[in-house]
Amino acid sequence: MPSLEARSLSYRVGQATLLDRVSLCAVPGEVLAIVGPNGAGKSTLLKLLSGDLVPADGEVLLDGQSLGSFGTRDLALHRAVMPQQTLLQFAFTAFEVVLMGRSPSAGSRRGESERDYEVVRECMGRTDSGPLSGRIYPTLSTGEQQRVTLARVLAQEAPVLLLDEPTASLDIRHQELVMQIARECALAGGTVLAVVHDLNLAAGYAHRLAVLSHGRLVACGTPTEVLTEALLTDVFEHPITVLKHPLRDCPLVLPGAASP
Amino acid sequence: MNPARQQEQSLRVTRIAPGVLFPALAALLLVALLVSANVGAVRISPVQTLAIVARHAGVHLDVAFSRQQDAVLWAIRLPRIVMAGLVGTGLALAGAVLQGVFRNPLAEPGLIGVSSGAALGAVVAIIAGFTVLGPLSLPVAAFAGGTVATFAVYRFARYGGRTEVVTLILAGIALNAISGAATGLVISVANERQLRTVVFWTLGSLSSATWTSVLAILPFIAAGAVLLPRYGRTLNLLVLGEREARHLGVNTERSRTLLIGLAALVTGAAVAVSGIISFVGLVVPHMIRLLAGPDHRTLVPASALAGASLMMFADLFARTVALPLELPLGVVTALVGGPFFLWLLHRTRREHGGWG
Repeated sequence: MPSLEARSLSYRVGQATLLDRVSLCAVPGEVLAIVGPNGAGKSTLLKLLSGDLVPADGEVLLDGQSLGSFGTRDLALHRAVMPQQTLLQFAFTAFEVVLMGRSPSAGSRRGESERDYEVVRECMGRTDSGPLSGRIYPTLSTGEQQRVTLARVLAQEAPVLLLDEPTASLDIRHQELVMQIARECALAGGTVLAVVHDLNLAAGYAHRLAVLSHGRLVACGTPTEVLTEALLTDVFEHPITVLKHPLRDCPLVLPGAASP
Repeated sequence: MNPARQQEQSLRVTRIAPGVLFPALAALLLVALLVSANVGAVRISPVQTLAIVARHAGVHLDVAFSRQQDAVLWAIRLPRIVMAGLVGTGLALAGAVLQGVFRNPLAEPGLIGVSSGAALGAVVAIIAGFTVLGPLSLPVAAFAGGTVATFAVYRFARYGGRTEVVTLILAGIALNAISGAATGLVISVANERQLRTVVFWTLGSLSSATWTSVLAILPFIAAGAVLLPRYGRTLNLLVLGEREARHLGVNTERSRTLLIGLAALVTGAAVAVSGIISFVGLVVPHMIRLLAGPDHRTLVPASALAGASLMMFADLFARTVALPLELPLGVVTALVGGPFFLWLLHRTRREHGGWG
């Protein structure tokens, strides 16, 4: 099972440095969450890791090999990317959209096999989007579209998953469901890297957290190591309190010091 | 309609299976061909049509037909019908493919500058008296104009090895405006006779179709009809989004260049012999989506078939409805296609809340 490694990645647009020598490595069996304030470079890092952007300096290694040495289809067999949102102008059904996730393994010529349909049904079941199967994708709510998109990404059956804010539009039940799926993928030997805005979701489900601030990696470690009042208050420039979660073995992050 | 019923309607997806759609479209094409051959100043029955075609293929059938019927069908009507089929196929194919490539249901072949470029080429040829290539002078000039315009649009949208779709569309709009202005400028120095040729050409017509012009565009349309349907799955993924398509293993830059290039060739060939025929490239793919859904593996080949039939019927209407006068074909397609498209917009708004 392959790992995904960033080696001293930098990315610049004009004079602005969006990412400054970031190194980290996501290994099989773990969920690595990337957290940080708006504009810290989280999405840029994810785009570099997925090959959408080419770094100004440094390199990305997938399974020990440079990302550039993979062909487009080869890459699609190794890693799947879940975008923040997929807009569609044409009336494909949710099922058809998830089926598109099977394209890399199907190649461009042959039609779908019975196994492709099975994988699609299973992935839609896991993401609680089974009942949306026959619905027209553009008529679904944003949250429903997000679950269908996750099903599409899972249907790709790639060992490395890159998720860009996979829970952004979801209700609390589905937020937990999606993070649970990320964890299951990791337990099955996959490598999962997710940009997560909600620190408590990251704390509850990620094995490790990478904290970005102003384009730099400022901390990387287990939730307990990283989610400290001092670090978070500093990074988010806002008073933050960290308690122990009453039911789970992880930190609980709350905004504010005393009552406002 | 109450909201619950509306909801229910949008939940239900009824689609014609490809196994039914393609035989139906093939049958429609055959009907279009035989009816078109039958109707006109000289009547020719379907059986006679077959016999005349068989005779020219060297097979003698025991069916009576006059020498006049033979001449009318073989020298005038049939090349025109085949030409209508080829032009319709080309425009509908290009429309289906470009709507997919641009992820926009409002895209049509004219968007990438090919039609207005071809018009400029044709008008310049008419007014400069370019006749070196005989009857093919005008088509060749139009084709060259269309190709140059598309290439210019594409060059503009390409920067650092990447093509940006929005830039491409905007460059197309700008180039259409420039070609339009240049065409107007050239027309302003035209004489009466040239002016009539220009107007005739820009309104679209197939009345000058001959076997020579059919053979001239056949390779281009055939190449499109054979190659473009192979990109059905690629188009489905491109519609999902450029990044998404790449993440799913599509070499987006290469596919897009190839698809736009082929669409331009096919449109250029069609426009070169027929003049400007609007709405076919826009409307036909929408009709197929309505019947069979948006999957490009069905949509692209089905649009090709439906475009051929539709254009044959449109041309039949244009040449027979006001006998002995002939209506410009582009006017017929726009008169029928425009209202149909408005109805389609209305229906889509009502049932899916629009495209946005």
